[in-house]
Amino acid sequence: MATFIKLAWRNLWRNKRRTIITVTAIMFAVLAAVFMQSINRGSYEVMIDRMVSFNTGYIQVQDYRFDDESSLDNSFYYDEELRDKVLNADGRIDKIVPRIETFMLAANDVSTRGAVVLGIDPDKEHEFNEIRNILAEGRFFESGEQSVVLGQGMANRLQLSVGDTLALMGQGRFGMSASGLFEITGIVDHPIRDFNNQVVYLPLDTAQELLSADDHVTSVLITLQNERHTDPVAASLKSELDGGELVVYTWPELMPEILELMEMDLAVPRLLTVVLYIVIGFGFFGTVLTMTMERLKEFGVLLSIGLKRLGLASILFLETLLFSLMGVLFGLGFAWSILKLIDPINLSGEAAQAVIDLGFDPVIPMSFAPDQFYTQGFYVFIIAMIVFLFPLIKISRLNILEAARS
Amino acid sequence: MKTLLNISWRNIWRHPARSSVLIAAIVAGLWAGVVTVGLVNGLMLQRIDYLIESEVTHAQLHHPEFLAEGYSWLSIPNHDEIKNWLENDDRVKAFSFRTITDGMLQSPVKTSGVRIRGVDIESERRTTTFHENIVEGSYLDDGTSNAVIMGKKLAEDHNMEIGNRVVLTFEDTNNELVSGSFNIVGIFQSASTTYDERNVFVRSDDLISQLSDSPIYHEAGMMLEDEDLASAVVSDLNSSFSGIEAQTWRQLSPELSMLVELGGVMVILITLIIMIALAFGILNTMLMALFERMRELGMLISIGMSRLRVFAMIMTEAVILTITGAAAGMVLAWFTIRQFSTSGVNLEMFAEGAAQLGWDYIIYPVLTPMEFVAILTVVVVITLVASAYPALKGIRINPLEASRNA
Repeated sequence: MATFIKLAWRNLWRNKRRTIITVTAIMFAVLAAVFMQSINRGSYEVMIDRMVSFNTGYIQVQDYRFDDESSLDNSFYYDEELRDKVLNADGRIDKIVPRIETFMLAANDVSTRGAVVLGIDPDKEHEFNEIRNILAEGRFFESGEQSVVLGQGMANRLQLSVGDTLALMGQGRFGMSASGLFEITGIVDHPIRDFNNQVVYLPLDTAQELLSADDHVTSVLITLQNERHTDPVAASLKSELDGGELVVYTWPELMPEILELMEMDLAVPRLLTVVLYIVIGFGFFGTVLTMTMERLKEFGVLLSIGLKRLGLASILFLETLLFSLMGVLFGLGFAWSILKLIDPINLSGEAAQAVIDLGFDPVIPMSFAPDQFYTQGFYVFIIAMIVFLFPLIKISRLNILEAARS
Repeated sequence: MKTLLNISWRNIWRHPARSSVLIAAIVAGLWAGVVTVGLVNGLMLQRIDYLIESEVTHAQLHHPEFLAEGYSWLSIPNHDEIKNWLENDDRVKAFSFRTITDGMLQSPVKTSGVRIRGVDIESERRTTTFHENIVEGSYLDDGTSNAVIMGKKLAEDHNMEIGNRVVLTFEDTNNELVSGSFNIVGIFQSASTTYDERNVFVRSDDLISQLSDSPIYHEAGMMLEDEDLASAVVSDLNSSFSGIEAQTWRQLSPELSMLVELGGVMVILITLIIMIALAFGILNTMLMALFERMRELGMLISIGMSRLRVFAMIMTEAVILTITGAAAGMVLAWFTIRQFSTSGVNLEMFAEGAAQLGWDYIIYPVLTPMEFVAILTVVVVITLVASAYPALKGIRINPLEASRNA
């Protein structure tokens, strides 16, 4: 075996040009495949990332009835004891962000708008999603203040600015009427368009008082040191809270619509990836075929001087393995660097305007999700190995005399 | 020249395997390009058509500030004259006036912000295909008084079923808040969950009676005999009537124009990736083939064939291969497109999970003759460029060395 490996290795370097061509072929195949994935997934990742940090969090704890009926009646009591219980459920939990959320009417002196009212702890919220950085004007309130921060779209529609007063009207917990006047301390340019047009942030304690929901919250967001730990942490939280009235959701469970939409949108790129594999396969097959033809004489000679067909096949297989591994590894490195280089692609002209109108940045972001690197690398590796079956078959059928003479 | 053609022709048939792989790579590339562009086009067109037909229509007119401000007193002036104009213009196939206001939907469960759309069922049915989105119950026309239909998502959020009542609260034209109880008669599901969550439909008469003393309309949607007439009709409307603003679907829906613009960019990027993969496949095969022939080329140069003629010979071979491949590829691609444009491509197997959104899984590819020619040109140019490089390399060889080794 050691001899075979040595032979295979030497064969690779005996004809450097050939090796380089074959390795480049695999490299570009990997590059194209990763590229295709990355370009299609990038925009969704940005969207999901925003949703996770400003809306759902990685993990959420809610009352078990809240998913069915997301009303304030299904909020839950949140105190130090519960906080410690959640925090101690798993060592990988980073922070806990409590929120109370409801729908109310927001009004200026003449007209009203529907508003998503979010009671938040400004410091915890900022540690989680750096919400202070999206302030367009003014400042963020501190806990206990009778003041609000509005989304820019909301402020424009009500023609309100920093320093003005906003009236909130609606229903508190258990049908209590809730209304109050609040000073606007800041306006945020919210990255989620719907929030920008609808959101009103209040200090958590002020919101609880307004909604007759003292010490109650509708959800607790849990942040992690590493996103990868979402599932295990959710599992340990589930067992910690088992038997109570609280349930645990992970972010994919909290925004199934976006994930479904992404699946739908990725169906075509997946089909196109198959088309790409066909193109790659043919290009690659051409390279391998010519290489085999070129080496038929060599194979013939080797077999004539007594190398078993199985032995020759093993050497060739080892060569293939080395080729493919090198190609895939270089390809992945190359793909990563190129993606880094062009990320994000800036749009211009009408395309850019269309995207800005929709409230997004005029760029096509690239995805750097690790799974696309290894899955695409793996697929191309498999294609390479399948294509290399051809020379193996050729060897098994080789007419030694003819081949060695040609 | 004739001799050259002869030699090239024979060279091609001297290595039938290699030549057929090259032809196959070109066929695959052309086929892949056509299928890719056809599918992406088909997908985009399907989505655009769906949005236009079910909701946006070819053109709409509003009070100039209505879309930005959304107040219910911003209604369309001169409703009767405009209606008359639309009825008498041959380019307008169908039109429908709508009464729209933003408000709140209250159920025993909770309160949500919604846009309330009052429609005239008869003209709406003629104009849009929105009635096809009804998944349960009827489309406001079963005689129930104060009927409302709501999106599936919204109904689920509120635990509402057909036959239940909800309260709609909104501002009338005098800025007074009014509430009305409405009976759910139908549930709809459109392509967008967000849309389903944010819009409810009532009959315009029911809405007008609570909203204002006299009939008011905020929006007119019109379908035209041809999509291309949109800008002409819009500019005629804008110059004939004051106090309104007519817009084409492109101006109206940022989602749609993003689909159109970004879709175009994506087609180019994806086609580029596939073409680059194709180019490398061909380049590598050509390079391999040439290295194998170094000895032969060295010999030809040694016996006095000019380098230019050798280059011409290699290129002639490439041209013959390309023409054959392109012709075969075109036939294959044409058949594929023809087949799938009637039967459609089912993408279900490429979508993970049971995503059930409004978009169809079956895509009907669309390809204009212009695009067909463009792809053909790209493939031919790529192949020739990919062959020129190894051919140039070939004529720079040292004939003595080349004919001695290899």
